[in-house]
Amino acid sequence: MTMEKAEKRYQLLIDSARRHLSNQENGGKPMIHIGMATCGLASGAAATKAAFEEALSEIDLDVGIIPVGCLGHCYAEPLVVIHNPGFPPICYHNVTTGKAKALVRAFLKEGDPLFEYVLGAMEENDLIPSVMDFPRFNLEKRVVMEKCGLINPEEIDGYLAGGGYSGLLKALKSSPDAVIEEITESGLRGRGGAGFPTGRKWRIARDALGSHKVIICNADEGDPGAYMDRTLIESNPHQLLEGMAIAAHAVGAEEGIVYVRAEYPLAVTRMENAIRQATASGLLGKGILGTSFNFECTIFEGSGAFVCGEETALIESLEGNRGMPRHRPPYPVQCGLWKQPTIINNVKTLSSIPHILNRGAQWYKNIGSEKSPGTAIFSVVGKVVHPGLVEIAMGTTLRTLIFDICGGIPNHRRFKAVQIGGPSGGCLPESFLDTPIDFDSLTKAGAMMGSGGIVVMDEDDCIADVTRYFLDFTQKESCGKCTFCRIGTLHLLNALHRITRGEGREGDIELLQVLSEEIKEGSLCGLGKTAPNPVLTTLKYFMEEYEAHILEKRCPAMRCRALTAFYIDLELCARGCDACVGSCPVEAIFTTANRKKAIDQEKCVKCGECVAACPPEYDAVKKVSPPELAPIIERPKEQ
Amino acid sequence: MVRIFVDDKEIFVDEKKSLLQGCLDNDIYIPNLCFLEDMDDPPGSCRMCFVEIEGMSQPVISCKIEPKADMVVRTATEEVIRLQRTSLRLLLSIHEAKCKACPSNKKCVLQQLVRRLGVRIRPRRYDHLTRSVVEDSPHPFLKIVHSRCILCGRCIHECRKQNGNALLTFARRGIDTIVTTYGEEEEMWLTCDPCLACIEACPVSAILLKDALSEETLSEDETVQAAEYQKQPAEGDGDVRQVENSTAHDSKVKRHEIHRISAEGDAIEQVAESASTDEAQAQCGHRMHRRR
Ligand SMILES: Cc1cc2nc3c(=O)[nH]c(=O)nc-3n(C[C@H](O)[C@H](O)[C@H](O)COP(=O)(O)O)c2cc1C
Ligand code: SF4
Ligand code: SF4
Ligand code: FES
Repeated sequence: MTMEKAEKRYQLLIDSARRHLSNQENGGKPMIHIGMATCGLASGAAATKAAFEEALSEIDLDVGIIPVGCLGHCYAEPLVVIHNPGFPPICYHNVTTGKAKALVRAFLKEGDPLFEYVLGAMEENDLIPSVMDFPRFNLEKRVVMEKCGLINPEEIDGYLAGGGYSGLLKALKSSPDAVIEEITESGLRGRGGAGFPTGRKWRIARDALGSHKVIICNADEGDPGAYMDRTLIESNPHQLLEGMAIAAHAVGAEEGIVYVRAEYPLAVTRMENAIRQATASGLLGKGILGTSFNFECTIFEGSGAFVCGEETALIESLEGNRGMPRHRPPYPVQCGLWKQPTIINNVKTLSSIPHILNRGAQWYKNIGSEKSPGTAIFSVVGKVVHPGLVEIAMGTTLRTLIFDICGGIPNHRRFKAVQIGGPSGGCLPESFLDTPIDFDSLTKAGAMMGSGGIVVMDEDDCIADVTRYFLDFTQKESCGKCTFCRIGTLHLLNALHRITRGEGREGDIELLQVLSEEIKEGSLCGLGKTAPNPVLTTLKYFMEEYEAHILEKRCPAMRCRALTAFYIDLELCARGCDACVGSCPVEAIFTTANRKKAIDQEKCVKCGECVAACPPEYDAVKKVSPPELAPIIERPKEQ
Repeated sequence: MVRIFVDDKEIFVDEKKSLLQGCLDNDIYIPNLCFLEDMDDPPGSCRMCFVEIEGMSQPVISCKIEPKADMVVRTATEEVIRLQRTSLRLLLSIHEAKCKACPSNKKCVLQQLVRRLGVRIRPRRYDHLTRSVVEDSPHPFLKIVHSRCILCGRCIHECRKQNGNALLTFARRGIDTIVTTYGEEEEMWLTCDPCLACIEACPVSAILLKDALSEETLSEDETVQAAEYQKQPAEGDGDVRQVENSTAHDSKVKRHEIHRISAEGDAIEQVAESASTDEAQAQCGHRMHRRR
């Protein structure tokens, strides 16, 4: 009986959402969708929107503007999709204010779609090539990001109109045990890094004794360069709320907390807004959809430490203590927030839940690989042509991801390595490009899924320097509780500093190797246990680079300043040309006796400005490592 | 009580207490720094009390293990000793080991471990690090010597035990983590003067009375003020406080003396330094040899 009522109420919500949306479109008026997640805003989406508004008001056209989330194509932001009746929806890239004004005049007023600005059409048609013809689109498998960038994250209607919250309805209609069974059957593994089976976690929580179980969504996302969780919240917050509500129903919780980084103000605002709207629609709060199920959700703004993403530290921080990890067991599902059974799941994990309930465990299992079903979302940055967010089926190889989907390495440089899993992950060389991306294969290779940050490096990146960068991050983020991580990581970092400064010592490689293994073994929490991964993998796969630094004082990538020098090839230098002289910030360039130029090595700060200043037809400034390779040219006395 | 086997010896331990406590109760010593018997939930932070347990792939810290019947435990395997040595060396690499000048000389837990585990008091393996904060003392009469502190947290635990709410806390984070005091000056006087449990608790004399080492540091002015303060009855229950305060004063003097006496012994530094690895192994590692 109540279920029939719930179904009716849900149908009313859907109908009203659809009516709302079609009213907005007002019988087929043109609509402009502007990507306004943080990535879009950072690229100037707000100015683009203002330019559209201004241009439209000038010619008095009735066009709707809808802010949407992120499509994942961060290299092309601001992205705009224009729905102009008579045309397929067209996606435009890098829409500056100027392009916005031009589009209003040419396309919306006169019907010329300005092909030169087009990225592609959003659906198949005869007029304009579809974006689906690009590998960046068609090799992806969008499940969790399906609606990102297509719906308005600030209104619940867009999500509802596409069948949103039907997974929750389905869950309410079946028993909690059946929901857990379905999730277990789907094989979903936690996307927060470790890949723990979600169904099993929920089962333990369901069976645990406790009067006040809690669902926590972990949106702390502290990895440098990772922003998948932020994008999911900014682009589709209701998907996450639906997942949390389903989890609550399954384990018997009535309280949910979204733990968001305080540095994500837009995500916080959109989440607050979504909670308000879902509550007003009867999808959250007391008596959801008229049933007896209650679920209240609140937001907690995290305190900005990477380690607070670790589940026990997260709980400490929620309880108002220092965000320091605790020994596990007991695990939070047994004894978590205020000693109650607590489920902590990542944003991506929870956002997958509605899809699994809607389309079934079998469907989900068919995506991805056997032991790691489903999709993975990565933020791919570094030396690739198309950086951004990518959702792929698990089991896709690194090669496909880097070379096909993300367009490969720019400027005809050679691929060197890929760091996968953020600062706790590992650095894999070319021979691992055919490794399938899934939890177990990556762990086997010495890397890990981690949070999903991928940094691609080419031949110009120095492995020791990159490792130092990651260690610098983890060392600074160590909470300081336990001995190995607190002190050990600093010794590792100091050794890496020495090596990249050309002061590496004979025992340094052994120190890095042995201490890394001991820190992994001896540390209390996942931060310390994984912090040495970049060191261990680079030692394993790029030992020759370390040896070059220490034994030959040579940086093979010519990155480490102390190990490189610039000089001007006198054969190539054009007599009388002085293009480089003014570019040098420290006046290290002087004129030789035969009116060519040379660099005073004592003064040179190795900024590389002269390389850029030397006209390409001469290309006379050379960089070498070790620095002794630079010929020494005396300054003429009578200057 | 359950029966377990530790280094091939059968012992009976209370299953409600940690494995570490069980071993200690049976006179089997496992190095430990951050653990105290009456802790409900030991922090497991010093990473010293490693043991190997049959069926577990890696060494685990015994202060966080509940003993189970018939558990087979080894306290001195190669792996265990290796981790304990590294843990100790890491602590020492940022510990200012000026033993002669230290009130803990000869009874210091670090010196004991140095001998037991056969490492040098100034480990050669790692460069010496210095703390970003060497000394700071917002407290009216307590001094915390950060360059000595090993962050075991015993002082904080004792303070909480004595006063319900600790006036000592960890501050900052990572390598800059320190123990510090907080609260209003008046509160510190009222709470700390009759207590001083932290000084007793600290295994390395990192918390001292400001005048413990050199009488001169406490200026006459401050001495007078301190005395004045004690004369003023506190609000409400002034009488009680006064009595407490006066006993505290006595105990302060007593502790003070202990410190001065111990500061005179200085031989240990050499002892600790000269103890060769072999000797130390002979002392602590007979189990290790037997295993090989
Ligand atoms: C240092 C550290 C940082 C972490 N940061 C995050 C984070 O930002 N987001 C996250 O979801 N999980 C993070 N985790 C993993 C969590 O501890 C936890 O395993 C995860 O949230 C569980 O969710 P899942 O089962 O959905 O993967 C971190 C772990 C460690 C050790
Ligand atoms: S491993 Fe590092 S972050 Fe984790 S508890 Fe120890 S010091 Fe803190
Ligand atoms: S001051 Fe002493 S007792 Fe307190 S944490 Fe430091 S070493 Fe331990
Ligand atoms: S005594 Fe067990 S970790 Fe410190």
